[in-house]
Amino acid sequence: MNQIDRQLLDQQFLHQLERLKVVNKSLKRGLYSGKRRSASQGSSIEFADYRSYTEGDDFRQIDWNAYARHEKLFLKTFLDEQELSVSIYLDCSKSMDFGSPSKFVTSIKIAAALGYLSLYNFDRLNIYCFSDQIEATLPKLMGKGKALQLFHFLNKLNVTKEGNINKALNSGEATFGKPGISIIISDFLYEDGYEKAISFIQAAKQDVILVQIFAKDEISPNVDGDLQLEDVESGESKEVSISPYLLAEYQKTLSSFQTKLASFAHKRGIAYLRVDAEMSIEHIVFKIFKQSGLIQ
Amino acid sequence: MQWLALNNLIFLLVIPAILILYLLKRKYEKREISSILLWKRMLRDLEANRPWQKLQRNLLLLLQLLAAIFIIIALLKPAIPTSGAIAEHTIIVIDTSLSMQAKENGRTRLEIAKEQVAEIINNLGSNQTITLIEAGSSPSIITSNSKDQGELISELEEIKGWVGSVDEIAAYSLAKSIAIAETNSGIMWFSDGANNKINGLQDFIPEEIAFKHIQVGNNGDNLSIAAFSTQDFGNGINGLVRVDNLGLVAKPARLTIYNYDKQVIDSFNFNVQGNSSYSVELEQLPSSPAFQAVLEVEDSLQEDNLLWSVPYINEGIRISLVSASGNHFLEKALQAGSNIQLEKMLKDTQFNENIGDVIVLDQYVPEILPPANVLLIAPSNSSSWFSFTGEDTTESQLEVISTNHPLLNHVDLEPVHIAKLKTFSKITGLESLVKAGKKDVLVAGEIEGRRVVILAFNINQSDLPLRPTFPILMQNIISWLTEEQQVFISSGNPGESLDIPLTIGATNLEIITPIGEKLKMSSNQIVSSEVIPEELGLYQVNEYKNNQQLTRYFTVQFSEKEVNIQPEAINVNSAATVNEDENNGLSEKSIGLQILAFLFALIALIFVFIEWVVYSRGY
Repeated sequence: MNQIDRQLLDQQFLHQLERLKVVNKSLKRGLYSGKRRSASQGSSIEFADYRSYTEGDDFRQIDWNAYARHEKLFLKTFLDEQELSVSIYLDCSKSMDFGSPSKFVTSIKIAAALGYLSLYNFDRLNIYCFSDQIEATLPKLMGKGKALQLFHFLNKLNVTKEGNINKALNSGEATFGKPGISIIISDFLYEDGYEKAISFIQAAKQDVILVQIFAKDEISPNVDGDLQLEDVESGESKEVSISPYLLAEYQKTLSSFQTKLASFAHKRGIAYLRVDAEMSIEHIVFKIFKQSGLIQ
Repeated sequence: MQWLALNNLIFLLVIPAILILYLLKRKYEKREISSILLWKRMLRDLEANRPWQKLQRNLLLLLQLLAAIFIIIALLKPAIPTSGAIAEHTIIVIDTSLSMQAKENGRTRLEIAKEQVAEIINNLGSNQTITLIEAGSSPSIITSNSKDQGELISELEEIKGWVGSVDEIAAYSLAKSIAIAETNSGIMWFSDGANNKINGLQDFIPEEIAFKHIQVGNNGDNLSIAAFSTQDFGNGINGLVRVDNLGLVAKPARLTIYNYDKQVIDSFNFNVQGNSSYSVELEQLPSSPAFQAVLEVEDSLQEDNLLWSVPYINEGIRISLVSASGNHFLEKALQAGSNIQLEKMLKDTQFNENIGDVIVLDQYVPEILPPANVLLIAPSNSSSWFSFTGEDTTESQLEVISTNHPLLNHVDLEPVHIAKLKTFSKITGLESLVKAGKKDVLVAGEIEGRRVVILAFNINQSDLPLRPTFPILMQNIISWLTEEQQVFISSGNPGESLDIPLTIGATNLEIITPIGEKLKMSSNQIVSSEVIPEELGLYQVNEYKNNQQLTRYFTVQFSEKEVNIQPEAINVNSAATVNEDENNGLSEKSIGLQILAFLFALIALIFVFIEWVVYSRGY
C-alpha cells in the first residue's frame, strides 16, 4: 500500500507547481547591497530598484545614465539570489500507516510536491525520513534534474516502527547545518511529545513549518461497542466501551491536542498547518499551503 | 416489616446469574488504531475529573444488581402494618391483665394500647365498625359493632387494668365467633403477649379472617416477690421471702418486712442477678396477724413489689382413730371434711400430748381419759372415767332432746334404726342430746376440760352410715370438738373463687377488703366459696360467736405467671382452606398491611433507568 503510484504527481500538476516556490520568511531575499556574493554565478544578479547616493556608498555602483538624465547620483540596487535550503522531515512511524489513503501516502505526496517545486526553484533540498531515528536521508538535491531521484527515493520509503520525534531529530543526523526552511510532516502523536525536536530544529536556524496530518478515522472514529484498542506502534491496548459521551470526550481531547500544538507553534513563530489524509494533493498544495503563505 | 411471599426468595438466584453473565459478557473486540495516545489521555482526564470512572463497569454491574435486588424485594411482597382498622368490622380485643400494668417510659402498656385503639377509632372509615372486647378474668363485649366514635372512645376510657390473669382463650374464642358470624371481620389483639395461651393453640382461625396482634411494650425487666410465707411453729414465727429477677440485668433492691401495724421489722439491701432469685429467711418474727414484704426497686411492674403473708398456724385438724375392729364407714366419714388429717392408732397406745386434736375411740375405752377431745363410739368396757353397764336391744324410736345443739344442725336421727345400744352410767358434764326410750344414744359435754361426745351404739349395727345425715353428723361432731381452733384460710388470686372455711355457729360473717369494703357472707355453710374481688392485699374475715368477734386474715396475691412481663408476639394458626379464587387470597389476608411491592418495583425501575442512562451515555 505504500507503493506510491507515480501518477500521484501528474504532469499537469507538476507544471502547475513550477509556477510556485517555497517562501522563506526569515531570510528575506534581495535586500543585500552586494556585499555578500551569491554562491551562484552568472545571471544571478537581478535589478531591483534605484536609491539615492549617500556618502560612503560604492561609487562604482552609481548609475551614470541616470546621473546624465537627472544630474543626481543614484545607486542601482540588485536582488541577490541565494540558494535556499529546504528540509522535509517525513514521519515514517507506523502510526502514519492509517487512513484511506493513509497519512503516509498523503505525506509522501506532499513531500514530493514541495520537493519538486524546491528543486525547480534551485533550492537545496534535504529529505529525512524518521521514526525513532533517521531511517533514510536524501541530502543536498538541487535542480529540476534531481526530481526523478527525489521521486525514486520517496517511492522506496515505508513505515517502519514506533516513532519518537524527539529522539530522531536530536540525533545530529537530522540537520544540514545551513539556515533554511524545515517542513515537518507528521501526526505528532508521540508519547514523549514533540517540543524538544521542534526546538532543536528551530535552534538550527530553521524556519520551521509543521504540517499535522490526521486520517478522518482519527478525527471522528467510526467505532462502537466494547473495544480493546491496540496501538499499532507500541502494541499497548486499552479497553473502552464506546458511547456517544466517550466519543465527544475524544473529540475534545483531539481538539485540545491540536490546539496545544498550534499554540506551541504560534508562540515560537512557527507555521502550523493541518491537513487530512483524505484530502487531494491539489487541495493541500493550492488551497492550504498557498493560502497559508507557505508557498507562493 | 412483613414478607408475604417469602417463597420468591428463589429469585435471588438471578444475582449469581447476573454476575456470571458479567464475567462471560465482557469480550472486547480488538481494534488496531494508529495511536492510543489520545484515548489514553482522554481516559486519564475522565478518571481525573470523575473518580467513579474507574468504577464505571462496576457501576453498571452495581446498578443491575441493585435493580435485581429491588425487583426481588418487590416480589417478596413486603408489607408494613398500618395503624388503621383492618376490616370493615374490626374486633378489638384489649388485654387488661396485670402484665399490661407494666410501665413503658412512664406509661402503662394498657394506656399505650388504649391510645393506639383510640387512634384507630379516630381514623375509622365511614363504612367501618368496631367491636370492643375487654379480655378480663372473663372476656366481656364493651361495645358491639359500633361506628359511633364518641361512644367507642368513652367506653374505651372506662377500661381499667386488672390485677389478675385474663382468659385469653375465652376472649379469642369470643372474638373468633363474632368474626365468623359477621362477614368482612378482622381481629386486632392489643396485648403484650406475655404468658399468652394463644400461641400454639390448635384453634384455627378461618383464612378469610385477618388476625393482627399489636404487641404493646418491649421491656421485660421486672423484679417480683415470688413468695412470702410465714409459719407459726408455736415457739415463734419464721418466714421465707424469695425475690425473682425476671429480667436479664442485675438490679439492686431493698426489701422491707412490716408487721400488721406497718412497723418495720426487718430490712435487706441486695443485688439480684438477671434471671435469678434472692431468698431471705426470717426467724423469730414478733407476733403479728400478718406481715407485709415491700420491695423497693425501679422496675416496670410495681404491683408485684408488695406481698402480704398471714402466718400459717394450723396444719389442719388431726384426728386419731382407735378402732377395736376397724371401721370403714367411720374412716370415710371422718375424712370427708376439709383440712383433716386422720391417723389410725392401735389399742393400748399410750396417749401423750402428741396425739391429735380429736381422738375417736371406736368400741374401745382407754383406762385414762386421753389428753384431747374425745368421740367415743359404742363403748363396751369400763375404765377409770367411764362405767359401762351393758348392752341392750331397743325397739324405741330415737328421740331428739336438744334440737338446737350444734351437733344436730341439719341432722335428722329420728328415722335411724339401731340394733343394740350400749348403756353406761351418767357422767357429770355430759348432756343427753338423743335418747331411745330412757337410754342415752348421743351425749355431749365436757369432762376435765375436754369435750367429749359419746355415740352409744355400734354404727355398723345400724342403718346410720347408709343415711345422708351420717357425714353431716360426723362433721358436726368434729367441728364441735375442734371449734375453738380457727382454720387457716389459704391465699387466693383475684377473680378466682376461694374456699373460706367458716367457724361453726358463728354469725354475721363478713369480709373486709383491703380498701375497707365490707362483703357479707352467708353463714349456713361449713365452707363459703367466695369469688375474690379485684383487689390485691390483706383481707379480713370477721365472724361473731357468742357476741365475740373472731377475726382471721387471708391474702390475695397477683398471679405468679403474670409477673413475667416479657412481651411476646401472638401467632394464630390459620386454617389452610382451599381458595378457589387465587387472586383473592392475598388481598383478603393482607388487610391492615400496606404492601410496599409497588414502591420497591418503582425503585427497581428507577435503577434500571439509571443503568440505561449510564450505559448509553457512558458515564
